[in-house]
Amino acid sequence: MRISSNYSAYCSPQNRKRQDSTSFGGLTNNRVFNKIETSVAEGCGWLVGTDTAKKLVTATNKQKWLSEKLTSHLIVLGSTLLSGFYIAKTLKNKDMEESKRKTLAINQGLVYGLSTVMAYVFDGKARKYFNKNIIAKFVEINKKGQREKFAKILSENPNWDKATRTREALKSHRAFVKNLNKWKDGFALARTIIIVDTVYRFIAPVIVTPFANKLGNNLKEKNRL
Amino acid sequence: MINSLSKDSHIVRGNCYIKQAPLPESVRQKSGLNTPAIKNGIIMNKPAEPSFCGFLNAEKFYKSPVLKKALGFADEQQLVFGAAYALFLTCVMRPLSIMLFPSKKNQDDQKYASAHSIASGLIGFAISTVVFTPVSSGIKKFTKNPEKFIKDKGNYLLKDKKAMSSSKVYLDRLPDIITAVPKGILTIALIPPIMKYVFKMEKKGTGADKKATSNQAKCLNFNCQRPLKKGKDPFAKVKGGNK
Repeated sequence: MRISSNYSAYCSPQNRKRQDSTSFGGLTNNRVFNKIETSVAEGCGWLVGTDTAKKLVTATNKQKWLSEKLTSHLIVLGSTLLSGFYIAKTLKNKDMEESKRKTLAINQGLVYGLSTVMAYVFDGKARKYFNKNIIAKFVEINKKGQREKFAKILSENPNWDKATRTREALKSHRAFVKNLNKWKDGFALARTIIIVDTVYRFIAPVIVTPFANKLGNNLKEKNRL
Repeated sequence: MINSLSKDSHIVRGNCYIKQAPLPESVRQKSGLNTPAIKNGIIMNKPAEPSFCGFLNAEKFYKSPVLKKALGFADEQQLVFGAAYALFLTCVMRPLSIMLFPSKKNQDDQKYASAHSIASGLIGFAISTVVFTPVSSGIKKFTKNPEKFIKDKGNYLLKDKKAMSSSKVYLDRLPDIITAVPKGILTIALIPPIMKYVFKMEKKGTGADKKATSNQAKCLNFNCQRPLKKGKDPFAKVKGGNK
């Protein structure tokens, strides 16, 4: 294999064109990967056409509390299933005494309960602050940046006629709006994922577990398991 | 100086953010509201801006291509983004908190707990990336062009945008919900070999217990051909019984 030292070809505009979407290089150009991708897309098309999916989506959109925070609810649902599995596994563990099994299961349940409440509270508070201050600021700064960028392009091309300027402005504006919506959605998703995961995977084991252990031991003494 | 601060104060006035009608020139001159800040059009009442004490420029941060790339990744591959963040928590934050916070456990127990956290994070990330990358790409392909994949052209999703966005959220999170328990089972199964062969750590108490039980079994083996050593007879101190 000969390594090319053609720096000018490397720096050419064609080579430097970056894709809009995230790329995993050779992986996403793979035929097997593309087949799996298409099968999943076709599966999604079939799934959303079923009556169950229609009932679920209609019921979701009727309840405001459900549709507004749907991502948070679904992340908590996944954690609920996993915590339920761990609690059931603990209760069936024959290597431990029965009283110890029950105590551990109660501790795990308390940790899950407290973490879920904390996740909802933090996500609710952060949502309002984020939307008002951070996302709004992000949109304002980037819109201003886009206007400055286009003004620079116009100043570099003084020979453009009105039709060309309008066409380029529309093209630039559409690309910017598409990206801006993607970034705003990404911000909202990242905020929810970061807050809920931090509560379940960091705050719960480090801070909530010792507190839940104390509570569980107090309950055990009161009920004499 | 205090007077000039209050007149030029456009930096922080709490969250008060009421739009006021512009005052006439004569009133502005009399009340002293004719400072350079107001003349140059700097708004008096502004919501507090996020500040990082000068270490981080908010404007540069919001314009940075790294942030935009990360946000695009979070939108397109939210499950892998979640797995990557979980990896950061389990491999960096949890081990740091275990080693830094004082605990009644000894150093070895703390090292074992940190290695356990790192192992579970790595396994979870590997499984999530392998399984969720093609699935998330497929879901993204569907949401970009749903008309191509929905056979019924009169489907309500093609007309109702809100229903389409709700179904998109369900589709994005469905793989995580379905694979939550199998991923947990696989993680629990893979942690002991990774702890043993990668981190060279074993769960304490298993080896010693096994040795103790096997030694006891040897002493109590009545079919043993070798004579027991002096002083090793477990029944030597037993008293009573028929003589």
